[in-house]
Amino acid sequence: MKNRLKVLRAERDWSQADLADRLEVSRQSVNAIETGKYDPSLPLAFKIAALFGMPIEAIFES
Amino acid sequence: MSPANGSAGPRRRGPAAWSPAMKRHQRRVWPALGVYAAVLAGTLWLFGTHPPTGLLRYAAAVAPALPLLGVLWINARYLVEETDEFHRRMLMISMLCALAVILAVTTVYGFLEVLAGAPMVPLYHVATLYVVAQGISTPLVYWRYQ
Repeated sequence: MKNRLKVLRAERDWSQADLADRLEVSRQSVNAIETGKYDPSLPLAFKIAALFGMPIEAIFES
Repeated sequence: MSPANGSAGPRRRGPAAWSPAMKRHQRRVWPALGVYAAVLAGTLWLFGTHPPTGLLRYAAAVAPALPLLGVLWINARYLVEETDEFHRRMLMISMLCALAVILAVTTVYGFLEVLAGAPMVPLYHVATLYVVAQGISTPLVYWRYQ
């Protein structure tokens, strides 16, 4: 699944570790999601969407 | 270069990058393996020098298996306690890989034993094989998802 996580993170000048801390997940999780190798669960996707103040479909696309 | 330009930022590796559940798992599993080594050595010494009889023989024979069963319980606890879904997924995949290896090896070797006269191998080696298989599969699974 493609996503705009890396771009959104860069726009806010956050490192992967910064984003991981805000989402309360590991940095490896953020890296795997950004590279599209791991699709987050629905609760985590909602958490990501809430953090960026955007709907899920504006961040993730199939 | 700013993290905003796409870098991952400072990377923590090794124990510094472990989740609290991973640290608890490490604090549990190494002592359990140490107990296994000690109990196994003690049991082998006992059977070699003063072979127990009766019910004690059965109890002593089972003793080394108990710490290994403890390791399985420790793995299950980690699966329950890990709150990071990515790490949980990695563990589940590595456990499935290890179980697949065990099923494949024991099935093939079982036929070799029965039909081709290969040397009989004690079943307790299955647990060791599982630990080794998971030890190999875990870093491979993480590497696959980098």
